[in-house]
Amino acid sequence: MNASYRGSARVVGNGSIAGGSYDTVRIVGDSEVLGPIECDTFSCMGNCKIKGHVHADKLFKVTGDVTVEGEWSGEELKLLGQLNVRGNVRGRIVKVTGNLEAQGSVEAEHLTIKGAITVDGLINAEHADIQLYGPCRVKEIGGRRIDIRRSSWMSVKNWIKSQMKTELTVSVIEGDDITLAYTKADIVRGNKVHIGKGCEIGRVEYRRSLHVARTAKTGVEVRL
Amino acid sequence: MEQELISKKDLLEEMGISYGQLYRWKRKRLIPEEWFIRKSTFTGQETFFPKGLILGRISHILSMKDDLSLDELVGKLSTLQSDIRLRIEEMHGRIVSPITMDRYAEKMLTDGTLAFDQAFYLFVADWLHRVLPGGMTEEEGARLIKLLVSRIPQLEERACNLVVLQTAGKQRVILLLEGGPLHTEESTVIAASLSIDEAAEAFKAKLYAYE
Repeated sequence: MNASYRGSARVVGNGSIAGGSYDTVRIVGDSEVLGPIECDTFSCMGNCKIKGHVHADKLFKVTGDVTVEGEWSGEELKLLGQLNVRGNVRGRIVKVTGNLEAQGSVEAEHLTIKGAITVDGLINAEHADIQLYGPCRVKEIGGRRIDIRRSSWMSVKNWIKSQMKTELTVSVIEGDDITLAYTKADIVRGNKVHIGKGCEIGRVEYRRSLHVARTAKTGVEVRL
Repeated sequence: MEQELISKKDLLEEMGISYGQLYRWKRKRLIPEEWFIRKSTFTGQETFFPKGLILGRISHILSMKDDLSLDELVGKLSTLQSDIRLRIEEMHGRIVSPITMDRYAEKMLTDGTLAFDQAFYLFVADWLHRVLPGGMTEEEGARLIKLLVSRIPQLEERACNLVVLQTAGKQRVILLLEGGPLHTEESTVIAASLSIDEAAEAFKAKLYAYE
């Protein structure tokens, strides 16, 4: 985009915004963005549906429920609530408290998730930190450091009412430093692998060290 | 001619790199998506790479990463693709027809391999040879390649078209045209026209294709 003046958009209540290039977009209430959008910062409290790609140069902040019918890209994604993306998610920092669903891949330098996540493609992150609050499903996870654990709150919640399984189902996990809990995976490959409580792993391939908790189940363990 | 593949495990072993680095380079688009080839093996699904391409690319990244930051490297690699060297057997017949290879490849070779852009020029020459009625003569092809070699690098990724004009006297003129329509007088016809960008896409698709 050229560096000419870009306007800002603001919706309070009900309304819609045309796609295009903006400085800041602020939505409080319920709104629709009618086309692809490019902006510095985007903030939404409430509901929003974006019909196209989204790019946020600085910050994309959502408290509520957002659907993106395209790709999401930007610097930082902060989510409290639910985000549904038709395509890929590419950002530097992705912080999710709530539910993230992506039909493509998710790429980030720092990925922090507290909640549930469903990704049909690959999660590729320098550091992926996933705290499970609900059932998660991902096709593949790759990166340098991968931490998957169950939130400590879940034990309290299960005590009151046991519900759907709070665990992650994934086909392949590959990384340098892997710590897992409550994960079902076909293959785990890494340098330092720690397999904690409640894991079911088909095949583990490791280089430096492997630690398996007593309650975890693993099929084949291979040191390369 | 089938491409030789290397599994991810062997690649990490051979280059002495880690999963973290490989995934980081993938995120930065230093390694194109098309190079990740999924195949199922008896130990489950594994990822493979075209061996020649990936080994070249990774040693290139490793050698440059001391001097440049990763982001600077991204800009460098995407335009130049200078580290890609193609073995002549990989090209022969699969990407460029034997007749074109035999005519022009000889002079460009350095120890049995071609640079990415040289291979691309051969691909363009081969395409023209097939499209033009009666094909190109060897002399025409040599002129074409000379034109491409001298002009394409100067264009710096700007869009352009390769146009072949044919005069009534069956003489052919080859031009590189940067933007704008071309109008000819009636005795001259446009025998072929090719967008260099589209050709590059087609070339890459062929190059990375794996059956």
